[in-house]
Amino acid sequence: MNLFLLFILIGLFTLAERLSFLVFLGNWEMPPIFLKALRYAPVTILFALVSPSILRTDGMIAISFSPKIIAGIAAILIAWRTRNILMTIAGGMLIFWLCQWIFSI
Amino acid sequence: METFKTKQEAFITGIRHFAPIVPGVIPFGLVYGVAATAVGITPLQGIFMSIVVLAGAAQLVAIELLGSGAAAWIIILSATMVNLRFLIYSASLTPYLKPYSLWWRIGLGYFITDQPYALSIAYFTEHPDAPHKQWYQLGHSLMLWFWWIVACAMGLFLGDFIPAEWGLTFAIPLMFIGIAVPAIKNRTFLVAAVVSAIVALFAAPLPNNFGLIIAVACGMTVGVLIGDDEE
Repeated sequence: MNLFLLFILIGLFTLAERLSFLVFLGNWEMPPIFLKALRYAPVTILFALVSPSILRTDGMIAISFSPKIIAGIAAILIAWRTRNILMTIAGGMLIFWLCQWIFSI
Repeated sequence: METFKTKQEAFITGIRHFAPIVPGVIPFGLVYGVAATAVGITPLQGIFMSIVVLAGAAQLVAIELLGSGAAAWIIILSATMVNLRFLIYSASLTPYLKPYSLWWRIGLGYFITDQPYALSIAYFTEHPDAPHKQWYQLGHSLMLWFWWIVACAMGLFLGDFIPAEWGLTFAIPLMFIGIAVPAIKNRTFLVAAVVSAIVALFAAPLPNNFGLIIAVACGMTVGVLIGDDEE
């Protein structure tokens, strides 16, 4: 698919979410079950993206520690302790590079 | 916090309130720009995406999925799911912005993202009767828009000069970790997250990244089934 078209479609769906209540739904109350499920959406999708990108290499599930796994575990600990996204990225990248360097020796 | 006497004052206050947040926006834009370049997105396409989507996490999710060759509908669905929180933002801003015209609500709605929402809802809950609320929100929303586009553009142009060996695309999953881990509010969130991660890991070979959708469906279902008290 053309990238511009793809981005427009993502933008339109996102705009629909932003305008949902502000413009279209007003006072309508979401069914409780839907509201409940909604709360878990961001966390579940982000973890679903993270786990294969860290635990899989070359289409296989990693069975030994790789720089990505070590850095990923470190990043989870940093994120948990600091709750700071920038610290998580910086710390994770540093450990990732450090491990790559150590593994290459 | 004081309330505003004029709309100019409200607008300027909005801009001022956003100033401390600017240093936090710029690195995200840089990461986005560099990662987008790495999967072959041109600066023009990247800036276009930042304008029409205007949501960092969703943009990065789409980039990550584009890089792994996911089907278009999976990319659209995933980005939309990451942005589901905007439904909640939209709903909670509605009582305060309802008095304003349709065009104001559409205009301000376009800018709804995490930081502007946080500023507005904090101010509106404290001053429910303040006048010129729309101008306050427009002030900080425009700040976010401006700095987000500038940072993304910088990253998109810098991206060409950063060697692929640095592995900077690994910053994307790290950023997801940085966003997702603090969002785990209790044990139910943790279980939902772990279920989703495990299913995603084993379902990853499915074509078009369909495993992602299955994983999220499993995680959300488990979350709803267990339930938690923070309703």
